[in-house]
Amino acid sequence: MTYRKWGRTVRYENGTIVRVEEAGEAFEEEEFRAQPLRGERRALPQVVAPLPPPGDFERIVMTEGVSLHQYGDIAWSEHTRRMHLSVARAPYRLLIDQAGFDVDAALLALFAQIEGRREPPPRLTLAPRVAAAMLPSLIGRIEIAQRAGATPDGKGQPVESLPVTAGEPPNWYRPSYRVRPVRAWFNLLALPFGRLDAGVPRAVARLGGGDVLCVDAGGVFAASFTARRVLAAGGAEEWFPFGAGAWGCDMLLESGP
Amino acid sequence: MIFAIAARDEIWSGGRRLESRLMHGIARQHGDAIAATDDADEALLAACEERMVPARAIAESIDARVRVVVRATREGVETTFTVTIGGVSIVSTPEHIDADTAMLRHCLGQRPTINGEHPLVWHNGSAAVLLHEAFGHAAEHHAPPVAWPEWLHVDAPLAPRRASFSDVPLPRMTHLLASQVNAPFELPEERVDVHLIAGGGYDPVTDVATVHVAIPRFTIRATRAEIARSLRGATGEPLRYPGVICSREGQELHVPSAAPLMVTGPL
Repeated sequence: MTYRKWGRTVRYENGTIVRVEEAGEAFEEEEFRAQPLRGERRALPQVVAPLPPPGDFERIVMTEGVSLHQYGDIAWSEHTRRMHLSVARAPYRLLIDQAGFDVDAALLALFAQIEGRREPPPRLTLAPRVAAAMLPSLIGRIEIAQRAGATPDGKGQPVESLPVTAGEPPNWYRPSYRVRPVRAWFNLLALPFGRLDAGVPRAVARLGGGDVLCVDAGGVFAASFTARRVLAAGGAEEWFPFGAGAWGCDMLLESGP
Repeated sequence: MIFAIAARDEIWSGGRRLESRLMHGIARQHGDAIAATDDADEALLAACEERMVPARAIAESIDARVRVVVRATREGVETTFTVTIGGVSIVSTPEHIDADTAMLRHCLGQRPTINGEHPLVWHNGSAAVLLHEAFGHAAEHHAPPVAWPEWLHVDAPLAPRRASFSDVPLPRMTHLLASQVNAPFELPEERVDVHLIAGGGYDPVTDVATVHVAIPRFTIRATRAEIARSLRGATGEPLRYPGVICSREGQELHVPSAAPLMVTGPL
């Protein structure tokens, strides 16, 4: 079967605007082959260069893209936004990965107040952007579902709402035409359960080295934690571009060093 | 400024091709704006495909997992092989692939024990990787100087480089050549012999270099100052290290590297 993709992206990367037009095809037999699709252009919508937010970032990459896909007789289109940014405050690094261009200024302000490192609190609430990054590691430990998506998977098949099991995922993830697609769960979602506790310290963002940025009544600090028992999960709040996608929610858990 | 590239990237296993990717494109840069398309520079594409023929024959002949990449740019055509056996890799070029693969097989037969308290002896030019992280990447990030030994000379020039037409060029090492002049040298009786490196990194925020040693298997994490202080001596001419594929900002580039037999304290 042949997969074809026509894409246009505009990327703001650390001060440089990069406009890319490309099209490619992949042949998936026993051997995987990929190559540019020469001579066959498709009309694609214009995309506007993203405007970087104010701030002193160590690294910032904002990408807006449109693409047409064809797998056999199935065709579909996509419009994506991705932002990756890191902010350095030695020895800490704040990491933000999200599907929109609005930067949470309050989060940046909290990071500017970081006071040092502490042992992880015994109970911790993960903010959606932290919980979403952890979801793949929680498969089999709490009830997780695949949530239906607006676009098909990498082989043109619909992404349907399903419970996530230990078995083989039904859908295929294809981040690029140059990469052999792999089976993956899409749009992971923790099914709500238990009771959240607004009084416990909150891990609001990921830091470099596997740490998290935590906030409690006593201040703002970095901590490294191991997730023990998950005590509660709230409703899905925001989709994050980790792997084939994950929905973030507030999540209460017992933590240890 | 115009950058053009044609590259073919194939993965072989036990003489059978598993994957083959062709990439080509042209990027035109005006100030802080790059317009890139996957248009082909026909001369580069032909040069790439021509060079791939003998490279493919080499890859097919090796009983291992082999990634072969031919990159043709207006600066030249480069062929690299990454040979992986038992989870350990070397990176080589057509003229050295036989010797480097034999060296990999030889090293795999050695399973020395490790002790973090012993000095390290860096064989096969592997000290070039330590310096690649602690000296070269630090220079890319304009890190403040640390006191390297006077006997050590490191040539690691930076130039704007990019992996593909859609990438932003970054100041990257073109090569790293470490050499010694009148260095002290004494081979410690109690030591850990470092033969091959799996990978590494440098974090400009913490000034920490990380080196994952493949044979024997352990990881070093130390600041540049600690690494500089640990250098005890070296001997002989620089030895070509078979394998530095450097990844920064997701852009993988080959960095030819060499260093003499070197001794450091425990790291």
